[in-house]
Amino acid sequence: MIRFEFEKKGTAIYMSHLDLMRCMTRALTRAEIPVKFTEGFNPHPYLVFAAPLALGISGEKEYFEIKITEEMPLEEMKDRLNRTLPAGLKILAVTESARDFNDIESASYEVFAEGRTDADWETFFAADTIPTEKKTKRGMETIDMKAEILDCKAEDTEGGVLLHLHLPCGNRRNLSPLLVVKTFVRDDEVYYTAARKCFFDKNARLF
Amino acid sequence: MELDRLLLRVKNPAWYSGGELNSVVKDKQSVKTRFAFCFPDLYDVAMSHLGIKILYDILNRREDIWCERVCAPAPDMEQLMREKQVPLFGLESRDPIRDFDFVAFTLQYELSYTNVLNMLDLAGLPVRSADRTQDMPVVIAGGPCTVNPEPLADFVDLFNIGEGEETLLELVDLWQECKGNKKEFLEKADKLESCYVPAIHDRSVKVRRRIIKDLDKVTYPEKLIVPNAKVIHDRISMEIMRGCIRGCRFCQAGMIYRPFRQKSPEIMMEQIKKLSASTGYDEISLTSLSSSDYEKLPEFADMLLDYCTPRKINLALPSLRIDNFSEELLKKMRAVRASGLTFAPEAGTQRLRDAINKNITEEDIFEGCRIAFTGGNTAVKLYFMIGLPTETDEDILGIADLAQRIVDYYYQLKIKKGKGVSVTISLSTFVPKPFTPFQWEPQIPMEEIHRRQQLLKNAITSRKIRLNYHEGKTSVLEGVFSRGDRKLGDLLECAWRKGCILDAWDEHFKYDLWLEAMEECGIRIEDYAGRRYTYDEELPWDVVDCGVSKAFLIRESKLAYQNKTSPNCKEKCMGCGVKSICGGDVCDPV
Ligand code: SF4
Repeated sequence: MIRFEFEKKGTAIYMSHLDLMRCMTRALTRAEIPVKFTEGFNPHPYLVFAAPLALGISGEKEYFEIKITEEMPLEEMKDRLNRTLPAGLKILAVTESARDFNDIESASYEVFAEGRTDADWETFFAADTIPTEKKTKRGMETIDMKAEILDCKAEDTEGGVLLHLHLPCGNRRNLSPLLVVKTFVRDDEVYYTAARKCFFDKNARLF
Repeated sequence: MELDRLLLRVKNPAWYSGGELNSVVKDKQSVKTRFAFCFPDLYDVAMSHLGIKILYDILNRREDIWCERVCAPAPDMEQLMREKQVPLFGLESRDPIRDFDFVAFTLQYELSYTNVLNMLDLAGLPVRSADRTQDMPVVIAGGPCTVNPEPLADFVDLFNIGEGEETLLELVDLWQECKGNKKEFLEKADKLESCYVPAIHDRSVKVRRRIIKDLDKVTYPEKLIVPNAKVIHDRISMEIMRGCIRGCRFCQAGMIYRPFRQKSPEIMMEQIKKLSASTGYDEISLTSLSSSDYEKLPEFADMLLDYCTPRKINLALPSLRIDNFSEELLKKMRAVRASGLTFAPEAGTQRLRDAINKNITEEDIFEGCRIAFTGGNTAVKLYFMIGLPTETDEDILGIADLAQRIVDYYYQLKIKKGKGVSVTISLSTFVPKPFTPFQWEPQIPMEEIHRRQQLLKNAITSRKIRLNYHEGKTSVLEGVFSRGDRKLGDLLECAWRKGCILDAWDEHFKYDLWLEAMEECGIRIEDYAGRRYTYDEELPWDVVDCGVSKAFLIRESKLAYQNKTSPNCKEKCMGCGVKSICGGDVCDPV
């Protein structure tokens, strides 16, 4: 397996996870990287992402892996792909993969909410529980968001508040920073941004 | 940045963000002419359309022109744009299009007309030409609907009729020559063969549709924009030919894209290789009105399959006709991936098929089905139309009967497969269109559409047959506008002001408001869609010379009433008149 580290910024943040998979598949084809395909009636490339990134969130160190059918220098794969990616996507590094994506348990995010302050967050976060509607496979469910947030720091910054969130990220548990910020601001008019910084394993070690 | 503040609040932000692969970004200081290519519908429809990509490429190849795409925003985005006063912008630069030189619309269907008005308004421009000042952009329109420009004549400064690959550049040249003097430009442009400036045009001078003589020589894009979000047709489209030899009497495309011109397989393979390398798409669709009339189809299919199979690229071949349906081709296609089987008999009885000149016999249909069924396909889709001239209840019942016999035929063939057969009938309503032999025919009224739909529905007994149809309201509106005159401008504006937009979408179409607007404007459906126009009256679209002559259309119209077919252009030239616009040297389909 070959691992690609990439960033997703600018206009690319408006791609959903499905859009991104489609986009990378095509980019690999354009770059003529010898990706291995699955067998069967409707073959598709072996392409696995570390964790889906929801539409609207930017990613600073995201990962995907592919299987290849023949050797190609890692640097060359990086250059080839970078020449053919749409605006906002960029490959940062290509390596042999070392660890299983399933090890990922959490991620850290930076969320900016315009016009809100550190104090607003403190008040919001002081509540014993923060019940929130969350869309799951079973439909809408009410969860206690506070219990899900692993860690949080808020700091005032120009124009608003910057939240450093540490949230569960994976198949078993997952919390979207967009859900957190929407619940916090409770106002469609408030502008916010969210970025995923990096991943952690179950021992809270950098992935 | 203002835009990014809105995008997270709408359902499909990628429709407005720009930044797609192969979109063209230029330095605005270094270009002379800025061109907004507007598709008056949502992004996913616009970006599925081939024409916009061809013209986008042609314009942007010129260093001094920057052509950008503009689509109609969905209602959620529109609401935010109006609220935050974000004027309609080009996707590439995000600059307001009211500052561009040209605002150009492509008119693909009548039901997009309210979107044209809405987009002008969103751009911050008055919708009527007369109200726009000299310093505002020139609003031009092209596309198939412009063969009858009258319903939009009050809103569009200049119509460019016919194929735009050459004329658009000529117009930009003229604009640059006139140094941005709009009045002078419009006066001069109106003198060009294919241009119509409704405000000043002398109606005794016919506007002639422009065509490209040699499709092999005209520029075809080497790159296509690859949208970031999924769109309806997300694939490479290769136009294999223009025009159609068939002459179905209801079909406007079959008349207004004449003459029949084919591209050579070698040139197309070159183009496909480049497009494939620049997009990475895994599907190629061959587009034309009737793919099986492409003479070199067998050899071209082989070349394509050689290219596509190892690359795991699917080949889609829509509009394959049932009568020369090739068994071999189907087998080969399956080696890649067969894309559903569709046939278009259009009418349920041979009598009516003859009247509309759809030269398909029952044997053809059953032979097509046999090949499909024995080839392992169990799903067949059939396209039919109700309300065709001379149609009786017998013809409608004939649709159910034909579908039933196809079901029965499947079981007769005793194919041992788990899945049962399924026949889907897709039913549309006839709309009389300019420049067809049926251009004088009335459309059946709403109640009659419903009665005929019910008649068919009740005649279908098998659960293997599915019937899909639309209520018919949109067809009626289409019928009003397709043969409309300039008086419809008031109706259009009135309906739009009431809130009619995105009329082609069921969920946005507001028929009640349209009826209200008609009432207020004194426009009656029966005077337009429902009226039999006469052979000798002056038609709103008489100002346009599409190539096909009125005499030919009248001959064909009379043959329909005798249930007589006409040979196709390869069998015998029926003297449609199109040679007059192509100088006699192009129309050589034999
Ligand atoms: S001129 Fe003759 S061959 Fe050419 S399109 Fe017309 S009818 Fe067909």
